[in-house]
Amino acid sequence: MSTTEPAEDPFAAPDATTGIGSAAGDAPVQRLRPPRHRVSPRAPVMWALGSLSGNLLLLAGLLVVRWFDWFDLAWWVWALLAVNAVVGVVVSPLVRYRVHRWESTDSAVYTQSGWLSLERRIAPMAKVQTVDVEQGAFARLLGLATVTVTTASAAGPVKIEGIESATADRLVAELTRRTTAEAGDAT
Amino acid sequence: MTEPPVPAPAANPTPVPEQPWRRLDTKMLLVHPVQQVLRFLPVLVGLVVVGGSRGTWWQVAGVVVPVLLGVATYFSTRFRITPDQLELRRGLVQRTTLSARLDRVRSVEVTAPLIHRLLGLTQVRISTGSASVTGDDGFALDGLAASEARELRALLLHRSEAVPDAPAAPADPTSVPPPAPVAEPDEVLLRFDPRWARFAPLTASGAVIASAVLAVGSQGIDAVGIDPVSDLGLDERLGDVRVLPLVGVGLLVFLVLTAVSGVLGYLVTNWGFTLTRDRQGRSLQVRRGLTTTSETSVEVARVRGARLTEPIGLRLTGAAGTEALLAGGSVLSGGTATVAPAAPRGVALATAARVLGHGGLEAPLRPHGPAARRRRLLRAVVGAGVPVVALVVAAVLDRVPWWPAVTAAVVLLPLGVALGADRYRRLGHALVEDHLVVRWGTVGGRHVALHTAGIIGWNLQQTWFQRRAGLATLVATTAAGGQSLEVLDVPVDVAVALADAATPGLLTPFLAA
Repeated sequence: MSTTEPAEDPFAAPDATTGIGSAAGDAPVQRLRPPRHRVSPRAPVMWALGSLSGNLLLLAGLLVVRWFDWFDLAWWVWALLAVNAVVGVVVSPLVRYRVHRWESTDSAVYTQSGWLSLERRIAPMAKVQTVDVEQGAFARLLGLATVTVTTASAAGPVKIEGIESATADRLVAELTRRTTAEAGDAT
Repeated sequence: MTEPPVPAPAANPTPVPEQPWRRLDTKMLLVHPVQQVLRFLPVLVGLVVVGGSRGTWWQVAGVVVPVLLGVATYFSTRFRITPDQLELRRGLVQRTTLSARLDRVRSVEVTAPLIHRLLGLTQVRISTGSASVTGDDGFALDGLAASEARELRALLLHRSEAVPDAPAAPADPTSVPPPAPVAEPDEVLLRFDPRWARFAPLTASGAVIASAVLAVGSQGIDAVGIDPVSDLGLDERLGDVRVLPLVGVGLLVFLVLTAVSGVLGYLVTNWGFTLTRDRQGRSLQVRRGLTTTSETSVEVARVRGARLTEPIGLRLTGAAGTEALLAGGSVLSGGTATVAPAAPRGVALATAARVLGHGGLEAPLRPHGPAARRRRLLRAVVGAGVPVVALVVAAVLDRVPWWPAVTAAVVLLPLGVALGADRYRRLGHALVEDHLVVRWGTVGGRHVALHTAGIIGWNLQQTWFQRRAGLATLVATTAAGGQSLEVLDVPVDVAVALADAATPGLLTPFLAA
């Protein structure tokens, strides 16, 4: 089995030797492909702005401490803040943009998220209970939205962060139409 | 949920006359005041202590007010059962009306604390499976006659109750007529054996009770004004090797206390534990308790699986506890119902098999492979290594002598290896009889069978380290039990194949060609 573009599929094993998995015998090895759609190209800006505002708040706090000379701040406090800012504003948004993907079919919602740890979530349409759209301040500024699909399980929410608001509205309408067709209490 | 329609009342095609409101049992006039006085006890004690010489009026008020409140509780609580709703009205100043749809009732619990039992009364707690965690006690009717409670439960769970030797219920025009009794008794799935109490010292509850006793005891000693540490001259000898025997004795006392309180607690809670199922196979009943008896009834349609709890103490002695996984239970109750207390493993497995309808928990499990073993070992050894390294560093810096570091290395490192090896041995999964079976954990071991119909989604997680090892954690999300079931450190393609096999079709559109 060849490695299929590891850049495209972060879940692909580094090489084909995944231990006992391949030894399953007759059944061909199945792989999940990544979800089809990327999030909006403006999503990394949204994540960066979120991180930037948090870091600026921290910086302001530290400057206040320094100004009033409440206690000594070691050099590494500033270094940590700088690292945290660089990672949060530059590295993490870029990596997340490469990782975050989503897809909605007639039967399920499928997402991929994370940056250090990766996660793929699948929620069957028949089990969807609520569909929420939310827009934070930065998201509204950039015309983005976050769609959260929940099921009856507390462990099950599927979140699509940073897609265009128009796409989000279309997605919600579609999800609502599909899920209202389903009967039962979805447990 | 597929349920038969509500019987008797709903069958009436003519407009149903307004159902009258009913009160709790009259004997609650005795119980409520006593409960209120008990609740006010700290205040009462305070009044007696503070107001000692200042006249007895305060003390009289301290008794009379709770008693009046208790009486008022009786008069302000009413309930009624309409064809499709159960309504409860309560509150003296702020009146609240709770209502629950009868077809949403998921479980009914009938308990009888000591006072209630003496008077032939019971408390009925009704769970409608709403996911809210705000409800203090949900829907509780505190104080129905035992026979009335049985009727109510039968009505709520749509099942006919076989009452063995119930006294003829007084003809009460307001009560709903009981369904025709069925002669066949319930099928007994499990009956309590007091010898199982030998496993109780190995469960955590004993340690909890013993710790509480010790805490209260030390408070008491403090209050009396004895300071055993300085009285015995211990503070001067701390760090001295001669203290060790004393520490040993203390530990022994704690262990004995743990064992004794564990056994007592086990017997008090589980005395007379019986698990039964009605002949139509519609509900499971658990009866138990020595002083406070409780009877919990659960719809079989809600059962999504079974779980063996095998903490290390129980596992080493060949025992396990058994729970049923329930869908739509309240978040507070954890979505599980105990169907067997700590008991020999064979009994636990047999009980689980009867609840599941097959021996899925006895099926051989698929191991997770060498990469998973490396990960378990590495993590356990690193965990054990941290204190060792810290002690070595401290010793190098001359802060402490060398012997703690050496002891820690000799004791902790092999322990870490053993733990890691066992954690790997425990890891395994299988797909048996439409159930996803997963086993994991050494200290708090679990062995779970979850019906695939109860799986309402998948999360496939990979940390950076797991990715390098080609492993992933597959999480089946569910509304039953702990809301999710994790298959830890499984090779990625095995995880995908497992999820695909458990929920056929769900993953198909997302599989790589």
